[in-house]
Amino acid sequence: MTQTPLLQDTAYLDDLRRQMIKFATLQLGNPEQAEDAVQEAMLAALKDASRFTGRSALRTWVFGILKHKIADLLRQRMRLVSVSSLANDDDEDGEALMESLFDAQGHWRDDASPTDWGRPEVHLSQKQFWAVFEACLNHLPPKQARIFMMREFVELDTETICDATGISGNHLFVLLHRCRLRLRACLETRWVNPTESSR
Amino acid sequence: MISCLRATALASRALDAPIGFKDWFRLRLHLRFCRRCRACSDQMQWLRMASRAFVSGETAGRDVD
Repeated sequence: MTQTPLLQDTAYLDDLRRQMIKFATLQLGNPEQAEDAVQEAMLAALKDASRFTGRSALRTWVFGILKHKIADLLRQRMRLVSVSSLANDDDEDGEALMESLFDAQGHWRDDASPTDWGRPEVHLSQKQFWAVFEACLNHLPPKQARIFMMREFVELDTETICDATGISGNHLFVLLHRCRLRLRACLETRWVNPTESSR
Repeated sequence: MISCLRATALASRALDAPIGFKDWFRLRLHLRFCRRCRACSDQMQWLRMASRAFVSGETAGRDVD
Protein backbone atom coordinates (compact mmCIF):
# COMPACT_ATOMS: atom_id res chain seq x y z
CA MET A 1 0.00 0.00 0.00
CA THR A 2 1.39 3.41 -0.86
CA GLN A 3 1.73 5.68 2.14
CA THR A 4 -0.16 8.89 1.50
CA PRO A 5 -0.39 11.95 3.74
CA LEU A 6 -4.01 10.97 4.42
CA LEU A 7 -2.98 7.66 5.93
CA GLN A 8 -0.45 9.39 8.16
CA ASP A 9 -3.02 11.80 9.51
CA THR A 10 -4.12 9.71 12.47
CA ALA A 11 -6.22 12.50 13.97
CA TYR A 12 -8.27 12.72 10.76
CA LEU A 13 -8.64 8.94 10.55
CA ASP A 14 -9.72 8.72 14.20
CA ASP A 15 -12.31 11.43 13.63
CA LEU A 16 -13.59 9.73 10.48
CA ARG A 17 -13.83 6.39 12.28
CA ARG A 18 -15.74 8.00 15.16
CA GLN A 19 -18.27 9.54 12.75
CA MET A 20 -18.67 6.22 10.96
CA ILE A 21 -19.24 4.27 14.18
CA LYS A 22 -21.85 6.78 15.27
CA PHE A 23 -23.63 6.50 11.93
CA ALA A 24 -23.45 2.68 11.83
CA THR A 25 -24.59 2.31 15.44
CA LEU A 26 -27.62 4.49 14.77
CA GLN A 27 -28.53 2.33 11.82
CA LEU A 28 -27.80 -1.09 13.27
CA GLY A 29 -28.59 -0.51 16.94
CA ASN A 30 -25.71 -2.84 17.79
CA PRO A 31 -22.30 -1.34 18.65
CA GLU A 32 -20.36 -4.55 17.96
CA GLN A 33 -21.85 -5.01 14.50
CA ALA A 34 -21.32 -1.31 13.84
CA GLU A 35 -17.66 -1.61 14.82
CA ASP A 36 -17.19 -4.62 12.52
CA ALA A 37 -18.90 -2.89 9.60
CA VAL A 38 -16.77 0.23 10.06
CA GLN A 39 -13.57 -1.77 10.28
CA GLU A 40 -14.38 -3.63 7.06
CA ALA A 41 -15.35 -0.43 5.27
CA MET A 42 -12.20 1.38 6.37
CA LEU A 43 -9.94 -1.50 5.39
CA ALA A 44 -11.58 -1.73 1.97
CA ALA A 45 -11.31 2.01 1.42
CA LEU A 46 -7.78 2.40 2.70
CA LYS A 47 -6.51 -0.28 0.33
CA ASP A 48 -7.17 2.26 -2.40
CA ALA A 49 -6.36 5.36 -0.36
CA SER A 50 -3.66 6.45 -2.81
CA ARG A 51 -6.46 7.17 -5.32
CA PHE A 52 -7.82 9.95 -3.17
CA THR A 53 -6.45 13.42 -3.40
CA GLY A 54 -8.39 14.89 -0.52
CA ARG A 55 -10.31 14.17 2.65
CA SER A 56 -13.73 14.75 1.17
CA ALA A 57 -13.10 12.21 -1.57
CA LEU A 58 -11.94 9.59 0.94
CA ARG A 59 -14.86 10.32 3.25
CA THR A 60 -17.39 9.99 0.42
CA TRP A 61 -15.80 6.73 -0.69
CA VAL A 62 -15.58 5.16 2.77
CA PHE A 63 -19.13 6.17 3.72
CA GLY A 64 -20.34 4.74 0.40
CA ILE A 65 -18.79 1.38 1.29
CA LEU A 66 -20.20 1.57 4.81
CA LYS A 67 -23.71 2.28 3.49
CA HIS A 68 -23.55 -0.87 1.34
CA LYS A 69 -22.35 -2.93 4.30
CA ILE A 70 -25.15 -1.60 6.51
CA ALA A 71 -27.74 -2.27 3.79
CA ASP A 72 -26.48 -5.87 3.46
CA LEU A 73 -26.63 -6.39 7.23
CA LEU A 74 -30.13 -4.96 7.43
CA ARG A 75 -31.31 -7.16 4.59
CA GLN A 76 -29.80 -10.22 6.26
CA ARG A 77 -31.21 -9.41 9.62
CA MET A 78 -34.78 -8.53 8.57
CA ARG A 79 -37.35 -7.61 11.19
CA LEU A 80 -34.94 -5.33 12.96
CA VAL A 81 -37.59 -3.61 15.02
CA SER A 82 -40.79 -5.29 16.09
CA VAL A 83 -44.07 -4.01 14.69
CA SER A 84 -45.53 -3.30 18.10
CA SER A 85 -42.57 -1.25 19.34
CA LEU A 86 -42.58 0.87 16.21
CA ALA A 87 -46.30 1.46 16.44
CA ASN A 88 -46.04 2.48 20.08
CA ASP A 89 -43.22 4.83 19.29
CA ASP A 90 -45.28 6.59 16.71
CA ASP A 91 -48.88 6.67 17.92
CA GLU A 92 -48.77 9.15 20.79
CA ASP A 93 -46.16 11.50 19.32
CA GLY A 94 -47.60 11.36 15.81
CA GLU A 95 -51.11 12.47 16.76
CA ALA A 96 -49.77 15.30 18.90
CA LEU A 97 -47.49 16.44 16.08
CA MET A 98 -50.32 16.57 13.54
CA GLU A 99 -52.56 18.48 15.94
CA SER A 100 -49.80 21.01 16.54
CA LEU A 101 -49.29 21.57 12.79
CA PHE A 102 -52.78 21.30 11.28
CA ASP A 103 -56.26 22.40 12.35
CA ALA A 104 -59.33 20.18 12.38
CA GLN A 105 -59.85 20.73 8.63
CA GLY A 106 -56.26 19.69 7.90
CA HIS A 107 -55.02 23.19 7.05
CA TRP A 108 -51.79 24.67 8.43
CA ARG A 109 -52.07 26.44 11.75
CA ASP A 110 -50.75 29.99 11.43
CA ASP A 111 -48.01 29.49 13.99
CA ALA A 112 -46.78 26.32 12.28
CA SER A 113 -47.01 27.19 8.62
CA PRO A 114 -43.84 26.82 6.54
CA THR A 115 -42.01 29.94 5.40
CA ASP A 116 -39.86 30.49 2.36
CA TRP A 117 -36.27 29.37 3.06
CA GLY A 118 -34.81 31.35 0.20
CA ARG A 119 -31.84 29.47 -1.24
CA PRO A 120 -31.40 26.67 1.27
CA GLU A 121 -28.41 25.19 -0.60
CA VAL A 122 -26.23 27.94 0.87
CA HIS A 123 -26.74 26.39 4.31
CA LEU A 124 -24.96 23.22 3.24
CA SER A 125 -21.62 24.98 3.24
CA GLN A 126 -22.02 26.31 6.77
CA LYS A 127 -20.49 24.23 9.53
CA GLN A 128 -22.94 25.49 12.11
CA PHE A 129 -25.87 24.36 9.98
CA TRP A 130 -24.72 20.74 10.25
CA ALA A 131 -24.64 20.95 14.04
CA VAL A 132 -28.27 22.12 13.97
CA PHE A 133 -29.17 19.44 11.41
CA GLU A 134 -27.68 16.76 13.66
CA ALA A 135 -29.45 18.15 16.71
CA CYS A 136 -32.76 18.04 14.80
CA LEU A 137 -32.10 14.44 13.78
CA ASN A 138 -31.42 13.56 17.41
CA HIS A 139 -34.70 15.22 18.31
CA LEU A 140 -36.71 12.70 16.24
CA PRO A 141 -38.28 9.74 18.05
CA PRO A 142 -35.43 7.15 17.96
CA LYS A 143 -37.13 4.43 15.94
CA GLN A 144 -38.55 6.91 13.45
CA ALA A 145 -35.10 8.44 13.12
CA ARG A 146 -33.72 5.03 12.25
CA ILE A 147 -36.35 4.56 9.55
CA PHE A 148 -35.68 8.03 8.15
CA MET A 149 -31.96 7.29 8.02
CA MET A 150 -32.53 3.93 6.36
CA ARG A 151 -34.40 5.76 3.63
CA GLU A 152 -32.43 8.96 3.24
CA PHE A 153 -28.94 8.10 4.48
CA VAL A 154 -28.51 4.44 3.53
CA GLU A 155 -30.90 4.95 0.56
CA LEU A 156 -32.74 1.67 1.07
CA ASP A 157 -35.92 1.31 -0.99
CA THR A 158 -39.25 1.21 0.80
CA GLU A 159 -39.76 -2.51 0.21
CA THR A 160 -36.44 -3.36 1.91
CA ILE A 161 -37.26 -1.11 4.86
CA CYS A 162 -40.67 -2.76 5.24
CA ASP A 163 -39.03 -6.21 5.17
CA ALA A 164 -36.36 -5.17 7.66
CA THR A 165 -38.74 -3.57 10.14
CA GLY A 166 -41.92 -5.55 9.63
CA ILE A 167 -44.09 -2.49 9.09
CA SER A 168 -46.55 -2.08 6.22
CA GLY A 169 -45.94 0.19 3.26
CA ASN A 170 -48.67 2.58 4.34
CA HIS A 171 -47.30 2.79 7.87
CA LEU A 172 -43.86 3.52 6.47
CA PHE A 173 -45.24 6.39 4.36
CA VAL A 174 -46.95 7.83 7.45
CA LEU A 175 -43.75 7.61 9.51
CA LEU A 176 -41.61 9.19 6.80
CA HIS A 177 -44.16 11.99 6.35
CA ARG A 178 -44.07 12.73 10.07
CA CYS A 179 -40.27 12.57 10.23
CA ARG A 180 -39.96 15.03 7.35
CA LEU A 181 -42.50 17.41 8.91
CA ARG A 182 -40.65 17.24 12.22
CA LEU A 183 -37.26 17.81 10.67
CA ARG A 184 -38.31 20.74 8.50
CA ALA A 185 -40.12 22.35 11.44
CA CYS A 186 -37.06 21.89 13.65
CA LEU A 187 -34.73 23.40 11.04
CA GLU A 188 -37.09 26.31 10.49
CA THR A 189 -37.26 27.06 14.20
CA ARG A 190 -33.60 26.53 15.02
CA TRP A 191 -31.86 27.62 11.85
CA VAL A 192 -33.94 29.52 9.30
CA ASN A 193 -35.96 31.73 11.68
CA PRO A 194 -34.37 31.34 15.12
CA THR A 195 -35.29 34.86 16.22
CA GLU A 196 -39.01 34.39 15.55
CA SER A 197 -39.16 31.33 17.79
CA SER A 198 -37.60 33.25 20.68
CA ARG A 199 -40.09 36.10 20.51
CA MET B 1 -59.37 20.66 -3.09
CA ILE B 2 -57.44 18.34 -0.77
CA SER B 3 -56.30 19.56 2.64
CA CYS B 4 -52.76 20.69 3.45
CA LEU B 5 -52.32 17.61 5.62
CA ARG B 6 -53.22 15.39 2.67
CA ALA B 7 -51.10 17.44 0.25
CA THR B 8 -47.98 17.18 2.41
CA ALA B 9 -48.56 13.44 2.87
CA LEU B 10 -48.75 13.02 -0.92
CA ALA B 11 -45.68 15.19 -1.46
CA SER B 12 -43.77 13.04 1.03
CA ARG B 13 -45.06 9.80 -0.48
CA ALA B 14 -44.03 10.92 -3.96
CA LEU B 15 -40.43 10.94 -2.69
CA ASP B 16 -40.68 7.26 -1.86
CA ALA B 17 -42.97 5.70 -4.47
CA PRO B 18 -44.91 6.64 -7.59
CA ILE B 19 -48.31 8.15 -6.84
CA GLY B 20 -51.27 7.61 -9.17
CA PHE B 21 -52.34 10.21 -11.71
CA LYS B 22 -55.38 11.30 -9.69
CA ASP B 23 -53.25 11.95 -6.60
CA TRP B 24 -50.55 13.60 -8.66
CA PHE B 25 -53.12 15.97 -10.21
CA ARG B 26 -54.71 16.77 -6.82
CA LEU B 27 -51.30 17.49 -5.38
CA ARG B 28 -50.24 19.73 -8.29
CA LEU B 29 -53.51 21.65 -8.10
CA HIS B 30 -53.14 22.15 -4.36
CA LEU B 31 -49.51 23.25 -4.64
CA ARG B 32 -50.42 25.76 -7.31
CA PHE B 33 -52.64 27.66 -4.90
CA CYS B 34 -50.99 26.95 -1.52
CA ARG B 35 -47.63 28.62 -0.95
CA ARG B 36 -47.27 27.01 2.48
CA CYS B 37 -47.49 23.50 1.07
CA ARG B 38 -45.30 24.54 -1.85
CA ALA B 39 -42.64 25.59 0.64
CA CYS B 40 -43.09 22.41 2.66
CA SER B 41 -42.87 20.22 -0.44
CA ASP B 42 -39.70 21.98 -1.61
CA GLN B 43 -38.19 21.63 1.85
CA MET B 44 -38.94 17.90 2.07
CA GLN B 45 -37.14 17.43 -1.25
CA TRP B 46 -34.31 19.57 0.02
CA LEU B 47 -34.06 17.42 3.17
CA ARG B 48 -33.23 14.48 0.92
CA MET B 49 -30.40 16.43 -0.69
CA ALA B 50 -29.15 17.60 2.72
CA SER B 51 -29.30 14.07 4.15
CA ARG B 52 -27.20 12.70 1.34
CA ALA B 53 -24.73 15.55 1.62
CA PHE B 54 -24.58 14.89 5.37
CA VAL B 55 -23.55 11.28 4.80
CA SER B 56 -21.17 11.87 1.94
CA GLY B 57 -19.51 14.88 3.52
CA GLU B 58 -19.93 16.93 0.34
CA THR B 59 -19.96 20.10 2.34
CA ALA B 60 -17.33 22.76 2.36
CA GLY B 61 -17.83 23.75 5.96
CA ARG B 62 -17.86 20.28 7.44
CA ASP B 63 -14.90 18.55 5.99
CA VAL B 64 -12.47 20.77 4.23
CA ASP B 65 -9.61 19.27 2.20
